[in-house]
Amino acid sequence: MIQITALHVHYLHICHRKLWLFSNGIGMEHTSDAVADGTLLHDTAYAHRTKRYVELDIPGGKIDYYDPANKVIHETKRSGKMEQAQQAQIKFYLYQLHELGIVASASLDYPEERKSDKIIWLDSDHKLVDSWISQVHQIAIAEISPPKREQRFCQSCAYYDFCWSVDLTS
Amino acid sequence: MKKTYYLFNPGRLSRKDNTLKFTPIDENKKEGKPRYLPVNQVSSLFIFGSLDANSALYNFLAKNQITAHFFDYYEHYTGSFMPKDYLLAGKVMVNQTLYYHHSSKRMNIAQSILHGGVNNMLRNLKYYLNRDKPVDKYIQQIQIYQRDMDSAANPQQLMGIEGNIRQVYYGAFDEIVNNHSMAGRSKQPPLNIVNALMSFGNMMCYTLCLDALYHTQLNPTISFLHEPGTRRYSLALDLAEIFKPLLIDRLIFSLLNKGQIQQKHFEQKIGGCFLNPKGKEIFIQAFDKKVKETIKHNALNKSVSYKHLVKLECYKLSRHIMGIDPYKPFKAWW
Ligand code: SF4
Repeated sequence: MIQITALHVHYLHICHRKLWLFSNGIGMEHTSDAVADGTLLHDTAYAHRTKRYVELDIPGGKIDYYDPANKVIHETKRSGKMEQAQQAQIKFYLYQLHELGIVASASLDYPEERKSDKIIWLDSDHKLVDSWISQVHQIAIAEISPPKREQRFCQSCAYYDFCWSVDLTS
Repeated sequence: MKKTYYLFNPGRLSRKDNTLKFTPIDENKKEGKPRYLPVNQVSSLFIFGSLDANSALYNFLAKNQITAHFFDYYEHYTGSFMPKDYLLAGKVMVNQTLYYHHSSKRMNIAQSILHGGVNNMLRNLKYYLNRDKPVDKYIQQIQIYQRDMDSAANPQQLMGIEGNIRQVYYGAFDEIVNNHSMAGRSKQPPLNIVNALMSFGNMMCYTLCLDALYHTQLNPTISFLHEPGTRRYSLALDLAEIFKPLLIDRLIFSLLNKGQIQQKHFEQKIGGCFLNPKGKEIFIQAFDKKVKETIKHNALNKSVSYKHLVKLECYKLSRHIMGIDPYKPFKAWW
Protein backbone atom coordinates (compact mmCIF):
# COMPACT_ATOMS: atom_id res chain seq x y z
CA MET A 1 0.00 0.00 0.00
CA ILE A 2 1.32 3.41 -0.86
CA GLN A 3 0.90 6.44 1.33
CA ILE A 4 -1.62 8.53 -0.50
CA THR A 5 -1.09 12.24 -0.42
CA ALA A 6 -3.02 15.24 -1.64
CA LEU A 7 -0.79 15.26 -4.70
CA HIS A 8 -2.01 11.79 -5.68
CA VAL A 9 -5.57 13.01 -5.42
CA HIS A 10 -4.70 16.09 -7.40
CA TYR A 11 -3.16 14.01 -10.20
CA LEU A 12 -6.09 11.61 -10.16
CA HIS A 13 -8.20 14.52 -11.32
CA ILE A 14 -5.69 15.76 -13.86
CA CYS A 15 -4.38 12.73 -15.67
CA HIS A 16 -4.22 9.05 -14.82
CA ARG A 17 -0.95 8.62 -16.72
CA LYS A 18 0.56 11.33 -14.58
CA LEU A 19 -0.66 9.67 -11.42
CA TRP A 20 0.79 6.34 -12.54
CA LEU A 21 4.19 7.79 -13.43
CA PHE A 22 4.34 9.73 -10.20
CA SER A 23 3.28 6.73 -8.09
CA ASN A 24 5.95 4.61 -9.70
CA GLY A 25 8.68 7.05 -8.87
CA ILE A 26 9.15 8.26 -12.41
CA GLY A 27 9.70 11.92 -11.71
CA MET A 28 11.04 14.52 -14.05
CA GLU A 29 14.18 16.52 -13.76
CA HIS A 30 12.78 20.02 -13.70
CA THR A 31 10.09 21.52 -11.61
CA SER A 32 8.04 23.74 -13.81
CA ASP A 33 8.13 27.49 -13.55
CA ALA A 34 4.53 27.50 -12.40
CA VAL A 35 5.51 25.61 -9.28
CA ALA A 36 8.29 28.05 -8.53
CA ASP A 37 5.83 30.86 -9.04
CA GLY A 38 3.43 29.29 -6.59
CA THR A 39 6.09 29.05 -3.93
CA LEU A 40 6.91 32.68 -4.34
CA LEU A 41 3.30 33.59 -3.86
CA HIS A 42 3.16 31.63 -0.64
CA ASP A 43 6.25 33.37 0.62
CA THR A 44 5.15 36.92 0.04
CA ALA A 45 1.44 37.32 -0.49
CA TYR A 46 0.21 37.23 3.10
CA ALA A 47 3.43 37.80 4.92
CA HIS A 48 1.73 40.09 7.40
CA ARG A 49 -0.93 37.56 8.32
CA THR A 50 1.27 34.54 8.91
CA LYS A 51 0.92 34.69 12.71
CA ARG A 52 -2.61 33.40 12.46
CA TYR A 53 -1.46 30.26 10.71
CA VAL A 54 0.38 27.16 11.72
CA GLU A 55 1.94 24.49 9.62
CA LEU A 56 0.06 21.28 10.15
CA ASP A 57 1.66 17.86 9.68
CA ILE A 58 -0.70 15.32 8.23
CA PRO A 59 0.02 11.76 7.11
CA GLY A 60 2.20 11.96 4.01
CA GLY A 61 2.40 15.71 3.86
CA LYS A 62 1.66 19.01 5.44
CA ILE A 63 -0.85 21.79 5.23
CA ASP A 64 1.06 25.04 4.92
CA TYR A 65 -1.50 27.49 6.26
CA TYR A 66 -3.91 26.28 8.88
CA ASP A 67 -5.84 28.62 11.09
CA PRO A 68 -6.45 26.54 14.22
CA ALA A 69 -8.72 29.06 15.93
CA ASN A 70 -11.30 28.96 13.15
CA LYS A 71 -10.38 25.53 11.83
CA VAL A 72 -9.78 26.82 8.33
CA ILE A 73 -7.22 25.68 5.79
CA HIS A 74 -5.97 28.53 3.64
CA GLU A 75 -4.57 28.13 0.17
CA THR A 76 -3.44 30.96 -2.03
CA LYS A 77 -3.84 31.04 -5.73
CA ARG A 78 -2.77 33.54 -8.32
CA SER A 79 -5.92 33.93 -10.31
CA GLY A 80 -8.57 32.33 -12.39
CA LYS A 81 -11.12 29.74 -11.47
CA MET A 82 -10.45 26.90 -9.16
CA GLU A 83 -9.92 23.71 -11.05
CA GLN A 84 -11.67 20.57 -10.04
CA ALA A 85 -8.30 18.95 -9.24
CA GLN A 86 -7.50 21.65 -6.75
CA GLN A 87 -10.88 21.39 -5.18
CA ALA A 88 -10.37 17.64 -4.83
CA GLN A 89 -7.00 18.16 -3.22
CA ILE A 90 -8.54 20.42 -0.63
CA LYS A 91 -11.36 17.98 0.01
CA PHE A 92 -8.69 15.43 0.66
CA TYR A 93 -7.10 17.67 3.30
CA LEU A 94 -10.45 18.08 4.95
CA TYR A 95 -10.87 14.32 4.84
CA GLN A 96 -7.53 13.83 6.55
CA LEU A 97 -8.45 16.31 9.26
CA HIS A 98 -11.81 14.60 9.63
CA GLU A 99 -9.95 11.33 10.23
CA LEU A 100 -8.11 13.10 13.03
CA GLY A 101 -11.43 14.21 14.49
CA ILE A 102 -11.34 17.78 13.23
CA VAL A 103 -14.21 19.12 11.18
CA ALA A 104 -12.63 21.96 9.25
CA SER A 105 -13.35 24.05 6.20
CA ALA A 106 -11.09 25.62 3.61
CA SER A 107 -10.67 28.97 2.02
CA LEU A 108 -9.04 29.49 -1.32
CA ASP A 109 -7.66 32.99 -1.46
CA TYR A 110 -6.84 35.05 -4.51
CA PRO A 111 -4.74 37.89 -3.12
CA GLU A 112 -4.43 39.66 -6.45
CA GLU A 113 -8.17 39.65 -6.98
CA ARG A 114 -8.97 40.24 -3.32
CA LYS A 115 -11.48 37.45 -3.15
CA SER A 116 -11.74 33.92 -1.87
CA ASP A 117 -13.72 30.72 -2.36
CA LYS A 118 -15.03 28.66 0.52
CA ILE A 119 -15.08 24.89 0.68
CA ILE A 120 -16.94 23.11 3.44
CA TRP A 121 -17.01 19.50 4.51
CA LEU A 122 -20.17 17.60 3.61
CA ASP A 123 -21.16 14.27 5.09
CA SER A 124 -21.26 12.77 1.62
CA ASP A 125 -17.64 13.78 1.06
CA HIS A 126 -16.42 10.88 3.09
CA LYS A 127 -17.65 8.33 0.59
CA LEU A 128 -16.45 10.45 -2.28
CA VAL A 129 -12.90 10.73 -1.00
CA ASP A 130 -12.87 7.04 -0.10
CA SER A 131 -13.66 6.26 -3.72
CA TRP A 132 -10.83 8.53 -4.91
CA ILE A 133 -8.42 6.74 -2.62
CA SER A 134 -9.34 3.35 -3.98
CA GLN A 135 -9.04 4.69 -7.52
CA VAL A 136 -5.57 6.03 -6.76
CA HIS A 137 -4.57 2.61 -5.46
CA GLN A 138 -5.89 0.85 -8.50
CA ILE A 139 -4.06 3.13 -10.90
CA ALA A 140 -0.83 3.15 -8.93
CA ILE A 141 -0.50 -0.63 -8.86
CA ALA A 142 -1.52 -1.19 -12.49
CA GLU A 143 1.16 -3.05 -14.42
CA ILE A 144 0.81 -0.86 -17.47
CA SER A 145 0.49 2.89 -17.57
CA PRO A 146 -2.86 4.43 -18.45
CA PRO A 147 -3.01 6.16 -21.85
CA LYS A 148 -2.00 9.74 -22.47
CA ARG A 149 -4.45 12.58 -22.44
CA GLU A 150 -5.14 14.74 -25.43
CA GLN A 151 -2.03 16.74 -26.17
CA ARG A 152 -3.64 20.13 -25.63
CA PHE A 153 -4.18 19.24 -21.95
CA CYS A 154 -0.54 18.35 -21.58
CA GLN A 155 1.20 21.58 -22.55
CA SER A 156 1.98 22.67 -19.02
CA CYS A 157 2.64 19.22 -17.60
CA ALA A 158 6.13 18.34 -16.36
CA TYR A 159 5.84 15.03 -18.23
CA TYR A 160 5.12 16.68 -21.55
CA ASP A 161 8.47 15.75 -23.13
CA PHE A 162 8.34 12.31 -21.59
CA CYS A 163 4.91 11.47 -22.98
CA TRP A 164 5.08 13.19 -26.32
CA SER A 165 8.60 12.56 -27.59
CA VAL A 166 7.25 10.21 -30.21
CA ASP A 167 8.21 9.88 -33.84
CA LEU A 168 9.64 13.09 -35.16
CA THR A 169 10.44 12.33 -38.77
CA SER A 170 9.24 15.24 -40.80
CA MET B 1 18.61 27.24 -19.63
CA LYS B 2 21.27 25.42 -17.65
CA LYS B 3 24.66 25.15 -19.29
CA THR B 4 27.58 22.82 -19.44
CA TYR B 5 30.86 24.43 -18.41
CA TYR B 6 34.22 23.22 -19.63
CA LEU B 7 37.22 23.89 -17.42
CA PHE B 8 40.52 23.74 -19.25
CA ASN B 9 42.80 25.72 -17.02
CA PRO B 10 44.14 24.54 -13.71
CA GLY B 11 42.55 26.18 -10.73
CA ARG B 12 40.43 25.91 -7.66
CA LEU B 13 36.69 25.49 -7.58
CA SER B 14 34.87 26.44 -4.43
CA ARG B 15 31.51 27.46 -3.17
CA LYS B 16 30.73 31.11 -2.67
CA ASP B 17 27.16 31.57 -1.42
CA ASN B 18 25.01 30.39 -4.29
CA THR B 19 27.69 30.52 -6.92
CA LEU B 20 30.58 28.38 -7.99
CA LYS B 21 33.82 30.28 -7.77
CA PHE B 22 36.62 29.32 -10.10
CA THR B 23 40.05 30.69 -9.30
CA PRO B 24 42.63 30.03 -11.99
CA ILE B 25 46.09 29.09 -10.71
CA ASP B 26 49.09 29.32 -13.03
CA GLU B 27 52.29 27.23 -13.07
CA ASN B 28 53.90 29.50 -10.49
CA LYS B 29 50.97 28.93 -8.13
CA LYS B 30 49.84 32.46 -8.70
CA GLU B 31 46.10 32.98 -8.43
CA GLY B 32 44.25 34.76 -11.22
CA LYS B 33 41.02 36.70 -11.19
CA PRO B 34 38.15 34.43 -10.09
CA ARG B 35 35.03 33.78 -12.15
CA TYR B 36 31.63 33.16 -10.63
CA LEU B 37 28.99 30.83 -12.04
CA PRO B 38 25.49 31.04 -10.58
CA VAL B 39 24.79 27.48 -9.48
CA ASN B 40 21.29 27.31 -10.89
CA GLN B 41 22.66 27.95 -14.36
CA VAL B 42 25.06 25.02 -14.34
CA SER B 43 24.01 21.58 -15.48
CA SER B 44 27.38 19.88 -15.59
CA LEU B 45 31.11 20.46 -15.53
CA PHE B 46 33.64 18.95 -17.90
CA ILE B 47 37.00 19.16 -16.25
CA PHE B 48 40.14 18.92 -18.38
CA GLY B 49 42.65 20.87 -16.31
CA SER B 50 43.80 19.97 -12.84
CA LEU B 51 41.30 21.08 -10.29
CA ASP B 52 41.47 21.73 -6.56
CA ALA B 53 38.20 21.19 -4.74
CA ASN B 54 37.06 20.10 -1.32
CA SER B 55 34.16 18.04 -0.03
CA ALA B 56 32.10 21.14 0.70
CA LEU B 57 32.20 21.88 -3.02
CA TYR B 58 31.11 18.36 -3.94
CA ASN B 59 28.30 18.50 -1.41
CA PHE B 60 27.20 21.73 -2.98
CA LEU B 61 27.32 20.21 -6.49
CA ALA B 62 25.36 17.21 -5.24
CA LYS B 63 22.71 19.35 -3.68
CA ASN B 64 22.22 21.03 -7.03
CA GLN B 65 22.41 17.82 -9.03
CA ILE B 66 25.43 18.99 -10.97
CA THR B 67 27.57 16.27 -12.48
CA ALA B 68 31.32 16.66 -12.97
CA HIS B 69 33.22 14.66 -15.57
CA PHE B 70 36.98 14.34 -15.47
CA PHE B 71 39.51 13.85 -18.23
CA ASP B 72 43.23 13.26 -17.99
CA TYR B 73 45.95 15.02 -19.93
CA TYR B 74 45.77 12.47 -22.71
CA GLU B 75 42.09 13.23 -23.10
CA HIS B 76 40.89 9.98 -21.66
CA TYR B 77 37.69 10.07 -19.74
CA THR B 78 38.70 9.11 -16.22
CA GLY B 79 35.43 9.24 -14.31
CA SER B 80 32.50 11.27 -13.12
CA PHE B 81 31.15 12.71 -9.97
CA MET B 82 27.48 11.84 -10.13
CA PRO B 83 25.47 13.00 -7.13
CA LYS B 84 23.34 10.27 -5.63
CA ASP B 85 20.56 9.11 -7.90
CA TYR B 86 17.76 11.51 -7.26
CA LEU B 87 15.37 9.95 -9.72
CA LEU B 88 15.49 6.34 -8.58
CA ALA B 89 12.50 4.24 -9.53
CA GLY B 90 12.54 0.57 -8.66
CA LYS B 91 10.02 -0.34 -11.31
CA VAL B 92 12.13 1.12 -14.11
CA MET B 93 15.21 -0.70 -12.87
CA VAL B 94 13.34 -4.00 -12.64
CA ASN B 95 11.93 -3.61 -16.13
CA GLN B 96 15.25 -2.55 -17.60
CA THR B 97 16.82 -5.72 -16.22
CA LEU B 98 13.91 -7.78 -17.46
CA TYR B 99 14.27 -6.43 -20.98
CA TYR B 100 17.97 -7.13 -20.87
CA HIS B 101 17.45 -10.72 -19.77
CA HIS B 102 14.73 -11.58 -22.23
CA SER B 103 16.73 -12.36 -25.36
CA SER B 104 14.21 -11.30 -28.00
CA LYS B 105 13.27 -8.19 -26.04
CA ARG B 106 16.93 -7.28 -25.76
CA MET B 107 17.59 -7.97 -29.44
CA ASN B 108 14.66 -5.85 -30.45
CA ILE B 109 16.10 -2.82 -28.64
CA ALA B 110 19.66 -3.56 -29.78
CA GLN B 111 18.55 -3.74 -33.41
CA SER B 112 16.57 -0.52 -33.12
CA ILE B 113 19.52 1.32 -31.65
CA LEU B 114 21.84 0.09 -34.35
CA HIS B 115 19.34 0.94 -37.08
CA GLY B 116 19.25 4.45 -35.67
CA GLY B 117 23.02 4.69 -35.72
CA VAL B 118 23.39 3.23 -39.20
CA ASN B 119 20.65 5.44 -40.56
CA ASN B 120 22.50 8.46 -39.22
CA MET B 121 25.78 7.29 -40.76
CA LEU B 122 24.03 6.82 -44.10
CA ARG B 123 22.53 10.30 -43.74
CA ASN B 124 26.03 11.73 -43.49
CA LEU B 125 27.21 9.83 -46.54
CA LYS B 126 24.17 10.81 -48.59
CA TYR B 127 24.76 14.42 -47.70
CA TYR B 128 28.21 14.20 -49.25
CA LEU B 129 26.95 12.13 -52.16
CA ASN B 130 24.74 15.10 -52.99
CA ARG B 131 27.86 17.24 -52.89
CA ASP B 132 29.57 15.06 -55.45
CA LYS B 133 31.78 13.05 -53.17
CA PRO B 134 32.27 9.53 -54.58
CA VAL B 135 30.72 7.69 -51.64
CA ASP B 136 27.99 5.70 -53.41
CA LYS B 137 29.84 2.40 -53.20
CA TYR B 138 30.22 2.83 -49.43
CA ILE B 139 26.52 3.53 -49.12
CA GLN B 140 25.62 0.43 -51.06
CA GLN B 141 27.97 -1.73 -49.05
CA ILE B 142 26.57 -0.44 -45.76
CA GLN B 143 23.03 -1.06 -46.96
CA ILE B 144 23.93 -4.67 -47.72
CA TYR B 145 25.28 -5.13 -44.21
CA GLN B 146 22.27 -3.36 -42.79
CA ARG B 147 19.98 -6.00 -44.24
CA ASP B 148 21.82 -8.64 -42.24
CA MET B 149 21.08 -6.86 -39.01
CA ASP B 150 17.55 -8.15 -38.73
CA SER B 151 18.61 -11.76 -39.04
CA ALA B 152 21.41 -11.51 -36.47
CA ALA B 153 20.86 -14.15 -33.82
CA ASN B 154 22.31 -12.34 -30.86
CA PRO B 155 23.90 -9.05 -29.80
CA GLN B 156 27.40 -10.41 -30.44
CA GLN B 157 26.54 -11.03 -34.09
CA LEU B 158 24.94 -7.63 -34.27
CA MET B 159 28.09 -6.01 -32.95
CA GLY B 160 30.04 -7.97 -35.54
CA ILE B 161 27.92 -6.43 -38.28
CA GLU B 162 28.33 -3.07 -36.64
CA GLY B 163 32.09 -3.53 -36.88
CA ASN B 164 31.84 -4.28 -40.59
CA ILE B 165 29.65 -1.27 -41.19
CA ARG B 166 32.01 1.01 -39.32
CA GLN B 167 34.94 -0.23 -41.35
CA VAL B 168 33.17 0.71 -44.57
CA TYR B 169 31.93 3.97 -43.11
CA TYR B 170 35.40 5.00 -42.02
CA GLY B 171 36.64 4.10 -45.48
CA ALA B 172 34.33 6.83 -46.80
CA PHE B 173 35.96 9.39 -44.49
CA ASP B 174 38.94 9.49 -46.80
CA GLU B 175 36.64 10.60 -49.62
CA ILE B 176 34.90 13.21 -47.50
CA VAL B 177 37.77 14.79 -45.61
CA ASN B 178 40.03 16.93 -47.77
CA ASN B 179 43.77 16.92 -47.20
CA HIS B 180 43.81 14.40 -44.35
CA SER B 181 43.75 10.66 -44.45
CA MET B 182 42.12 8.53 -41.79
CA ALA B 183 43.56 5.28 -43.10
CA GLY B 184 41.21 3.22 -41.00
CA ARG B 185 40.27 3.57 -37.40
CA SER B 186 43.09 3.52 -34.88
CA LYS B 187 42.51 3.89 -31.15
CA GLN B 188 44.80 3.59 -28.17
CA PRO B 189 46.60 5.50 -29.44
CA PRO B 190 44.99 7.27 -32.38
CA LEU B 191 47.64 7.42 -35.09
CA ASN B 192 46.66 10.51 -37.06
CA ILE B 193 44.62 13.61 -36.68
CA VAL B 194 41.33 12.24 -38.01
CA ASN B 195 41.56 9.42 -35.51
CA ALA B 196 42.58 11.78 -32.75
CA LEU B 197 39.49 13.88 -33.39
CA MET B 198 37.32 10.81 -33.55
CA SER B 199 38.57 9.47 -30.23
CA PHE B 200 38.15 12.79 -28.53
CA GLY B 201 34.74 13.40 -30.08
CA ASN B 202 33.41 9.97 -29.27
CA MET B 203 34.43 10.39 -25.69
CA MET B 204 32.59 13.71 -25.56
CA CYS B 205 29.50 12.10 -27.04
CA TYR B 206 29.68 9.23 -24.55
CA THR B 207 29.90 11.69 -21.68
CA LEU B 208 26.99 13.71 -23.03
CA CYS B 209 24.87 10.55 -23.16
CA LEU B 210 25.94 9.54 -19.67
CA ASP B 211 24.96 12.96 -18.44
CA ALA B 212 21.52 12.68 -20.02
CA LEU B 213 21.02 9.24 -18.47
CA TYR B 214 21.84 10.59 -15.04
CA HIS B 215 18.78 12.83 -15.25
CA THR B 216 16.45 9.92 -15.90
CA GLN B 217 15.50 6.73 -14.08
CA LEU B 218 17.47 4.49 -16.43
CA ASN B 219 20.43 2.64 -15.02
CA PRO B 220 23.49 3.48 -17.14
CA THR B 221 25.15 0.09 -16.65
CA ILE B 222 22.38 -2.08 -18.09
CA SER B 223 22.60 -1.92 -21.86
CA PHE B 224 21.14 -3.72 -24.84
CA LEU B 225 23.40 -3.43 -27.88
CA HIS B 226 26.69 -3.33 -26.02
CA GLU B 227 27.40 -5.99 -23.45
CA PRO B 228 26.71 -4.52 -20.01
CA GLY B 229 30.18 -3.52 -19.16
CA THR B 230 32.48 -3.55 -16.32
CA ARG B 231 34.47 -0.35 -16.10
CA ARG B 232 32.08 1.62 -18.26
CA TYR B 233 28.52 2.86 -18.53
CA SER B 234 27.45 0.71 -21.40
CA LEU B 235 23.99 2.21 -21.85
CA ALA B 236 25.75 5.49 -22.63
CA LEU B 237 27.62 3.62 -25.35
CA ASP B 238 24.31 2.38 -26.75
CA LEU B 239 22.95 5.90 -26.91
CA ALA B 240 26.19 7.27 -28.34
CA GLU B 241 25.83 4.83 -31.20
CA ILE B 242 22.84 6.83 -32.38
CA PHE B 243 24.26 10.29 -31.88
CA LYS B 244 27.93 9.96 -32.83
CA PRO B 245 27.32 10.34 -36.58
CA LEU B 246 25.16 13.39 -36.02
CA LEU B 247 27.17 15.18 -33.36
CA ILE B 248 30.76 14.08 -33.82
CA ASP B 249 31.31 12.93 -37.39
CA ARG B 250 29.64 15.98 -38.88
CA LEU B 251 31.72 18.15 -36.63
CA ILE B 252 34.94 16.47 -37.70
CA PHE B 253 34.09 16.86 -41.37
CA SER B 254 33.35 20.53 -41.07
CA LEU B 255 36.23 21.41 -38.73
CA LEU B 256 38.74 19.78 -41.04
CA ASN B 257 37.26 20.81 -44.36
CA LYS B 258 36.91 24.40 -43.27
CA GLY B 259 40.43 24.35 -41.93
CA GLN B 260 39.32 25.36 -38.43
CA ILE B 261 41.39 22.54 -37.06
CA GLN B 262 44.80 21.97 -38.61
CA GLN B 263 47.98 20.00 -38.14
CA LYS B 264 49.28 22.61 -35.71
CA HIS B 265 46.51 21.77 -33.24
CA PHE B 266 47.93 18.33 -32.59
CA GLU B 267 50.95 16.88 -30.96
CA GLN B 268 52.60 13.50 -31.19
CA LYS B 269 53.20 11.75 -27.92
CA ILE B 270 53.28 8.24 -26.52
CA GLY B 271 53.35 7.00 -30.08
CA GLY B 272 50.03 8.57 -30.98
CA CYS B 273 48.43 11.77 -32.13
CA PHE B 274 46.50 13.99 -29.71
CA LEU B 275 44.83 17.36 -29.73
CA ASN B 276 46.88 20.03 -28.06
CA PRO B 277 45.23 22.48 -25.64
CA LYS B 278 44.33 24.95 -28.38
CA GLY B 279 42.93 22.15 -30.52
CA LYS B 280 40.82 20.86 -27.65
CA GLU B 281 39.45 24.31 -27.06
CA ILE B 282 38.46 24.74 -30.70
CA PHE B 283 36.86 21.33 -30.77
CA ILE B 284 34.92 21.82 -27.55
CA GLN B 285 33.69 25.22 -28.60
CA ALA B 286 32.37 23.74 -31.79
CA PHE B 287 30.93 20.76 -29.94
CA ASP B 288 29.17 22.97 -27.45
CA LYS B 289 27.72 25.06 -30.26
CA LYS B 290 26.58 21.89 -31.99
CA VAL B 291 24.74 20.42 -29.01
CA LYS B 292 22.95 23.73 -28.51
CA GLU B 293 21.73 23.80 -32.10
CA THR B 294 18.01 23.25 -32.28
CA ILE B 295 15.64 21.48 -34.60
CA LYS B 296 11.90 21.65 -34.79
CA HIS B 297 10.42 18.61 -33.09
CA ASN B 298 7.17 17.94 -34.84
CA ALA B 299 5.58 15.72 -32.23
CA LEU B 300 6.40 18.07 -29.37
CA ASN B 301 5.58 21.07 -31.52
CA LYS B 302 8.57 23.06 -30.33
CA SER B 303 12.27 23.46 -30.99
CA VAL B 304 14.64 21.22 -29.09
CA SER B 305 18.42 21.25 -28.87
CA TYR B 306 20.54 18.31 -29.93
CA LYS B 307 21.44 17.90 -26.29
CA HIS B 308 17.78 17.59 -25.41
CA LEU B 309 17.31 15.07 -28.20
CA VAL B 310 19.58 12.76 -26.25
CA LYS B 311 17.37 13.15 -23.21
CA LEU B 312 14.27 12.45 -25.30
CA GLU B 313 15.94 9.25 -26.45
CA CYS B 314 16.23 8.24 -22.79
CA TYR B 315 12.53 8.96 -22.32
CA LYS B 316 11.69 6.82 -25.33
CA LEU B 317 13.73 3.94 -23.98
CA SER B 318 12.04 4.33 -20.60
CA ARG B 319 8.61 4.28 -22.20
CA HIS B 320 9.57 1.17 -24.12
CA ILE B 321 10.71 -0.82 -21.11
CA MET B 322 7.69 0.33 -19.15
CA GLY B 323 5.49 -1.08 -21.89
CA ILE B 324 4.08 2.33 -22.81
CA ASP B 325 5.25 2.84 -26.42
CA PRO B 326 7.45 0.73 -28.67
CA TYR B 327 10.90 2.26 -29.06
CA LYS B 328 11.75 3.86 -32.37
CA PRO B 329 15.29 5.20 -32.63
CA PHE B 330 16.01 8.78 -33.52
CA LYS B 331 16.79 8.99 -37.21
CA ALA B 332 18.18 12.19 -38.66
CA TRP B 333 16.49 13.19 -41.88
CA TRP B 334 18.56 16.22 -42.81
S1 SF4 C 1 1.91 14.99 -20.53
FE1 SF4 C 1 -0.29 14.69 -20.68
S2 SF4 C 1 -0.54 12.50 -20.74
FE2 SF4 C 1 1.50 12.88 -19.99
S3 SF4 C 1 1.30 12.85 -17.81
FE3 SF4 C 1 1.11 14.97 -18.44
S4 SF4 C 1 -1.05 15.30 -18.69
FE4 SF4 C 1 -0.75 13.11 -18.63
